[in-house]
Amino acid sequence: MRPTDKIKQYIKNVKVKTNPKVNQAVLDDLLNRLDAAQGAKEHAPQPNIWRMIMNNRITKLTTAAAAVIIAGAVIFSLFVSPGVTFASVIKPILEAKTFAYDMHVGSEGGPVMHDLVSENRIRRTMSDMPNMVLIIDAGAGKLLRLDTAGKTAALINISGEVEKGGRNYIAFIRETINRLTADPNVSQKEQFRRQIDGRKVIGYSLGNDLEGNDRDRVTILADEKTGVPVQIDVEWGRETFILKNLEFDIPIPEDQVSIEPPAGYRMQKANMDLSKLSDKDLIESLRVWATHLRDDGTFPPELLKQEFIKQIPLFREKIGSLPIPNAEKEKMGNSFLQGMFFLQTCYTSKMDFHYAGAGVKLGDAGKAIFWYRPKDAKTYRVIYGDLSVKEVAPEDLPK
Amino acid sequence: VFEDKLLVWKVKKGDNSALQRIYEKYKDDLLRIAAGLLIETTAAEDAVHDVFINFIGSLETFTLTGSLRGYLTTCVANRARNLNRSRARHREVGLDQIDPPDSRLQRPEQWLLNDEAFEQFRNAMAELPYGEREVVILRVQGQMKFSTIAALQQTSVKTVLSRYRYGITKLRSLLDGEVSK
Repeated sequence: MRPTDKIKQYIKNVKVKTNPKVNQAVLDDLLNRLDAAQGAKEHAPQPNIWRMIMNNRITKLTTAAAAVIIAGAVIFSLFVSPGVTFASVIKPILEAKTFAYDMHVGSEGGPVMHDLVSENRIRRTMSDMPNMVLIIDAGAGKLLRLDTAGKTAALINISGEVEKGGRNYIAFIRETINRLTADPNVSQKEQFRRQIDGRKVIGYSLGNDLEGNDRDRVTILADEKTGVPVQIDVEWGRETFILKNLEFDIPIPEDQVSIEPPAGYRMQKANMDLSKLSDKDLIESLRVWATHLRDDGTFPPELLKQEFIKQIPLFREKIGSLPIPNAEKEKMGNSFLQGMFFLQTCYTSKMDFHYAGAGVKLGDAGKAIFWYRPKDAKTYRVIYGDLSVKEVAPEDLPK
Repeated sequence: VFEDKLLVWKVKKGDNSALQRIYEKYKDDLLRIAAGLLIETTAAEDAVHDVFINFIGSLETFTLTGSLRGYLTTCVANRARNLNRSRARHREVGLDQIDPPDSRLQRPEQWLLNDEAFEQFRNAMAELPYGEREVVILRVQGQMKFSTIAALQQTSVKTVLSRYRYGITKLRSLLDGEVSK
């Protein structure tokens, strides 16, 4: 046989192996669709159950077969309530003046942030820091930090790049929805039905299917009858967050979102200025992380804002028990958070950045752990395992 | 062809067993073609699932003029090409965005199961430019005529033949050891 024929034969004979359980799950879905198409031709198209189960990515097949079976039990209606449309679902998100929501960082089960939002002012509390209240006034570029136990307050400057990340999450979601609906390259809105927390919801998902820092996807789940959003899932780059317990146009007293400290609080000097962040902040953050939060002295496996937030309880435990003055502990805490805010500005400024510190030990000068290109710069700033920094041309970046 | 026409007719009447037959008959070939074109298995799984969904969605107006196999293959090719264009518009596909070629890691319940021979095939196909890859896959695995492929690629048959030759030649050098076994 000629070599060319052998190649053709080889290509022709390549076999695929498929998972029988998933084969059956897909077939069941297709048969359901056929039944629906036959029985309900006059109604809206059936939701893409497969994508619903997979949360739009077949990479999340882990529970596919089981979920298909469950889906059969929980898919209660193929038909959309007459008044509920994508436009009606996003209306309160786009138009409400005040909101309240719980934000789950990363996924459910972690710390929960509760926000009360009145236009560009936010009152934020966190489930794992019961004594802390943050009041963010994005218009004034200020953040008031209240310690309700010690009755102290500190006013922090957040003007500049970090202010973009200090906006309320609904404002961020508004921007994302507007951007995605205007982008011809994003996948179409997908509509599906689901049952969450015993409630029948209609869902819309829109976004691109890119991975890594370019990923952008919003999934809105709304009450099937009223169309009011009850949950919003956001995938923004590698970060993910979920908004639940949403309330729109609720009365919020002025003093709840004022950056004037409440009566009886003692003002403290703020040791933090978020208006001038740099990679030095991230370096200090990484030093704290590798030295105190990791048992083996390595850098964290992932560098995400949500990971910073998840570390806060551990940070409090580990740093709190160190035999050092409180001022020193506070300084470390500020450094740790400033690193998180610097990372946030990498996202909000759309910088090209990359983290490669997983498994690298603090002190390893030979390994690059983080690099980014500052806005308008021609070279990258590369941070190494010994926390030294070098300017590196794009072609010389670590592969 | 007659069997397929009959199956389509039955599916249009809502016959579940006919749809099951079509699915069983073509899913593996379509997955193989999609994976060869898209390299990334997750995208290939999505593409094939979407093609079946669209097939069901269009049944009311669907008329089978040629072979069902050819129709479904063309749908997969179109879907893969659109996805590929969309990827290219956003950015180049880097090695970190495709499934690790030599990884034995397997998602717990993925549709396409990793297999050494199949991975070797995908790795080789990944080395070809998309146009060449598409011609080789559609010609050899999809059994399409060069003229049909030319129409799909909106180019001349001469260009398609040339892409085919280049593609096969590159694969020969890439898979030399493998095909001589």
